[in-house]
Amino acid sequence: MARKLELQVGETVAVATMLENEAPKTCKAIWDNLPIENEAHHAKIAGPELYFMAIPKIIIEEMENPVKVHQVPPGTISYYPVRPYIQVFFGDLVQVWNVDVNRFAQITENLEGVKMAARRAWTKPGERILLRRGE
Amino acid sequence: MSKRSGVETFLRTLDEKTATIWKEPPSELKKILEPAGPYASRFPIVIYSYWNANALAGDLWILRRNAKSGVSLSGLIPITKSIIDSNAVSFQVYGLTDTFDLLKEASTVLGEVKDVTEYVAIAEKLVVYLNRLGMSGWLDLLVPWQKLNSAFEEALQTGQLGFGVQKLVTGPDKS
Repeated sequence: MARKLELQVGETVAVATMLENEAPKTCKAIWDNLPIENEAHHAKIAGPELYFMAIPKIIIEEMENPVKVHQVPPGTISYYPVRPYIQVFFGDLVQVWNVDVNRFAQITENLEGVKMAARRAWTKPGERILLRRGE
Repeated sequence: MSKRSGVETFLRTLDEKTATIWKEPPSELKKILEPAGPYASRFPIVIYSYWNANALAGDLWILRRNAKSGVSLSGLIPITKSIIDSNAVSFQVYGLTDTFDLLKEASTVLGEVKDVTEYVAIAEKLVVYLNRLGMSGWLDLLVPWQKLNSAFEEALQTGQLGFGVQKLVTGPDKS
């Protein structure tokens, strides 16, 4: 059975499923280093995206499951090796950003809650974000 | 007991500074936010500092990747030192003197690096520090991005842009 993650933005909790078939090594690297907590920072150009720093805990060199950033489905959680960040995408992205992200999980419960919490991070920065192992 | 090398000492210093900056905004930010500030222009200093931290972290990450993929350190180190030195001066101008001091120390210590492992360790730890200062940290939280974006959109719509660039939005003046 696929491993589950819990993503908490502020007080909002969502559940994500790890994409272990598509990105097994990435999933393991993430799973082995959870929990990871930081402030959520909102993307400035791409649109509906939160990001937070993965280093120093997690450094992944391989682009195991590359997906063009403007083609990721809402609810995608990915690792961006160009900037060692974990990203959470919660809507349709601006088409100008033609780069790959390493997609390793998909939010399967409460994406709507994440969207609202993420919008707060845009208007009032500083929301806490926590990625931990799910049940 | 063997004496610690300059690189080891610097890495330890960097770890300590990163642990501090991870928990609390660095005191040098308080300094640049004083009403007078170094040049009485708080917002440009914040946004320029943000961008320098962001750009330097990005460059160091690329250089680190090059080192790991086998590019010669004899070529990488002088380039890295130049990039760090150049950015360090900018931080000094902004009044972020602690970051300036840290970067100057990094530049000096790079001259003592013996192998790829040491080079990568310095680059990675600097990236963590700079990200925490900038794009994933305190300076990012100091910038009211949403309000700035709204203000810019309003300026675009109401013709408040500088002389000569408004036509980029409205087209050439036909009067």
